[in-house]
Amino acid sequence: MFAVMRIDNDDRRSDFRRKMRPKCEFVCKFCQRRFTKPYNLMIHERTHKSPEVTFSCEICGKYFKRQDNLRQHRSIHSDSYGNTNYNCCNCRSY
Amino acid sequence: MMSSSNNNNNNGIFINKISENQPELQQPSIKRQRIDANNEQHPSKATPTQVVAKSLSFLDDSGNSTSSSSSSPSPVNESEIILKPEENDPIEKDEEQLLMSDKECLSMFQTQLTHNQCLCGLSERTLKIPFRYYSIVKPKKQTYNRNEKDEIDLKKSSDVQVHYVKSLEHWPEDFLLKFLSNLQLLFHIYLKQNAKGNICGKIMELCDCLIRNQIHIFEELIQLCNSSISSNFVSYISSKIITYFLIIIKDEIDRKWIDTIVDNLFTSDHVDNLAVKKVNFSLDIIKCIVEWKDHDEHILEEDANGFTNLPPPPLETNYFATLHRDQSGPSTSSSSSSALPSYLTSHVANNSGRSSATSGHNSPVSNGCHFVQLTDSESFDTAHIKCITTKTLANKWPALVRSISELIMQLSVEIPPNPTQQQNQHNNHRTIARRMNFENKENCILTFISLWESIISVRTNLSVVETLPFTTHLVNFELLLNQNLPCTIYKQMLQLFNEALCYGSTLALQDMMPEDTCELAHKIIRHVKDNRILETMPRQINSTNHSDDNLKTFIGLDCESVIFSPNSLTTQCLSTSLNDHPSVTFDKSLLQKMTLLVLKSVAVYVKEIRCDSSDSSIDSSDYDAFQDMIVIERTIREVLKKLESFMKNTLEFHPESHFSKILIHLFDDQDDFLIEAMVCTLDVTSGISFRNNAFPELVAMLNPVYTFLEFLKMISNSSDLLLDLLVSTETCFLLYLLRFLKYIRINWSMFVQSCRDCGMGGNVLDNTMTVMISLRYKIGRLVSKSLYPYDIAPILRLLESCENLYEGNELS
Repeated sequence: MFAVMRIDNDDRRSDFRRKMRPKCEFVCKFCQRRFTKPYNLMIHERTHKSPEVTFSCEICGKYFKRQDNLRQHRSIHSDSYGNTNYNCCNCRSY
Repeated sequence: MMSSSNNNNNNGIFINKISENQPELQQPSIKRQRIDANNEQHPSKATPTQVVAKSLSFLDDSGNSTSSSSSSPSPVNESEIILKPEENDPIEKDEEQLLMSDKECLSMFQTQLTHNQCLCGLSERTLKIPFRYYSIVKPKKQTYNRNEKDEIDLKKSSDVQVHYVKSLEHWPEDFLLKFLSNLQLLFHIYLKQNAKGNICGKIMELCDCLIRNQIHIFEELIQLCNSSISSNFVSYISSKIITYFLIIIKDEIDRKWIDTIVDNLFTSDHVDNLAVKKVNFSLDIIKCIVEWKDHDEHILEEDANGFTNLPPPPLETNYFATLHRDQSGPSTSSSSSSALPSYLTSHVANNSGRSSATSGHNSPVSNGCHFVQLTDSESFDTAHIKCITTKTLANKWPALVRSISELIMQLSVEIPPNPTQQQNQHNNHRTIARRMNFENKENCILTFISLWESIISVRTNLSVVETLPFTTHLVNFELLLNQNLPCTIYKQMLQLFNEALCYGSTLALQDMMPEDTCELAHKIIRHVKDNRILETMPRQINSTNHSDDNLKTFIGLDCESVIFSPNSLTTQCLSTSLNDHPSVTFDKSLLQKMTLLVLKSVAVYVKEIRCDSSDSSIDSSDYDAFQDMIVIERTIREVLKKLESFMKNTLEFHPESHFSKILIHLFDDQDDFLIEAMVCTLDVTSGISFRNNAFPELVAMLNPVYTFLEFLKMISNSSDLLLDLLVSTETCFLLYLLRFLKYIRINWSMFVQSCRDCGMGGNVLDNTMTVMISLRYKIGRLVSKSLYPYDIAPILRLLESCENLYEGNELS
């Protein structure tokens, strides 16, 4: 009898637990998976390689994974006098 | 207005025009070139049937194409468009480019696309040559005289009849492949530029024009690839083109396209060669769509762009730029849009809704590229088409899994035919046919599994709700993992299950794990424990010993190994000598995938238990939970022991060597696998020992500190490498470091003790802490310049508190 009650109890308890779980959830904007800690969500979202994580050049729109690489890249747009050169490396237009 | 009518007239058969204009030509060198090229192209001029080029394949407006007065009612009536040849065109814009042969036009088109990523400045004809119809020219009467001059070739249109073969299936294969390659190249460049937001205007117009006017080509392509006549090459490139086409039209996509492709998977219930081919074709398309990345830049590409691309030539010497300027000079007075080819003008006018995005047309651009800046952010996004495709596919997925499972079972029973067994001629033919059949099936299964993997992969960025219908069938699919499978399929299946147990990227971070995933993990654990899955893994064959069924080569099929001797190439097997030492090894990548899969399954299992028990511990008796944990721990230890002894045997390690050494050695060339495996062992250890360190045996076996120290040894204590791993998103090192630092902060004495045990002379603790302190400095410097890409504060805090512990440790 105790065993029967326990199974019953277990079911109810898990239902209860699911309902009463605090709803402070953080939802991934790519796949809508739920996380309870914001830092965990941040770690997970990095997997999606979101465009926000990458850095884009404001002159030619090229994307970079690291900002120091972008800084290095920016130098190709400026000549030795520091003037900005709008020459795009993709389509050769000015 | 006037110029546009001129352009319409330009649509005549260019070859006729050229021959008429030839007397007035000023540049004999170019003329010579053209003639030479023509000779090359038509070596069989004396034959009654000859093949010539016809541009204008994509000119669909029948209003523009007027029937030639000279053409008599022809036997091939439907497939014929004959346009009125231009009599005398006062404004000869494209003169220079007209003088080029078709071959030159084609190569100019291709180099412009691949090198300059721009089609501006190319003549209308050059743009049309790559996309012309296949045509057959027959002389009408016997007036054709070969013995005159070379210039005669197609002098008078009344002499010949041109048949345009409109349906692709009647085209010769090499011509078809060339056509498809050009199409594919154009679409590829278009999509690449589209993703970056800057498109060469001409490329965009050409693409739009092709897609809007020639939509039947794509329908025909699907039909062609579903028929038995298409070769594998045609199927492959067609699947690419269909994918590009669907992605380009993604905004106004018609559901019927997707439906056709998905229905294609089920058109015949009989599994024959053709059916397999059809399924593979459709799977290829769907896979390409699902895997499509909007921002896809290869890591090496940024370097390549910097060095291999030549700087743009100065305008004065840029042939295309000067040519284009000459062209647009007179035309700007008559009409602003006349710089565009005539067949595009109507389209551009119709498409005025898009004019905000294509405002670059009218702006004068100095080097000839009508450069269009896309402002519409929607144009970068393929989420919609991915969503439609997966939704359509989800309904049919169970049926597809069933039919592919049958195919897999067939394949594991079927013995792959061995082509080298020399029999009589007739039998040999049959063996080759069977072998082809086998390869096609294998290929189809591989495509299916990798499509499945792509759909459920976290990196594909599909919503978890969308992928749910695809994860439910994995558990039953796991049953198919057996030793009779070809190794390629076995490996691909392991990869699929590894992707489903996305531990480091997702599951480790979640509180509640999906039930399907847990079930899959249970099944794999049971498989290792009871069914000897490790021992029955396919092995690589190094000798020609065929007695063992387990032995498979890793090129997919059992083949006789070819032995190179200095003088002759011989396939004679040296079985007598090699059988004495049957050197049988496992494929390393297969081993890695299997090990990672087992470790992930164990980690998921522990995490699941942990989630449940930590919640229920409030009211249930501690004793029951502890009893459960004992059983669980025993299971885990048994599985891990099996894994350990198996790896020690295969990798020839000393029986006493520690698990961490094997782990680092096995994964030394795969950092993402390695770090995920490290996260798994760390989580299993900390998960199982959450109550008073109850299971010292398991903790000692997996000791995460040893693993970390081995890892540091492998990367020779480089804090730069650690920083790179932290910043990049390719591995889950951020998660690992976070959990590891937390672990050693709680178990500091154990950390110190492990360092001491590991030390062979040098002070391991000091070295390790030096690396960590240097890492903290490096992160701190990047953070202070606000160059660090994300919030790293938790790691910094943990590093600091570990340093404090270290300093306190030194004092005591």
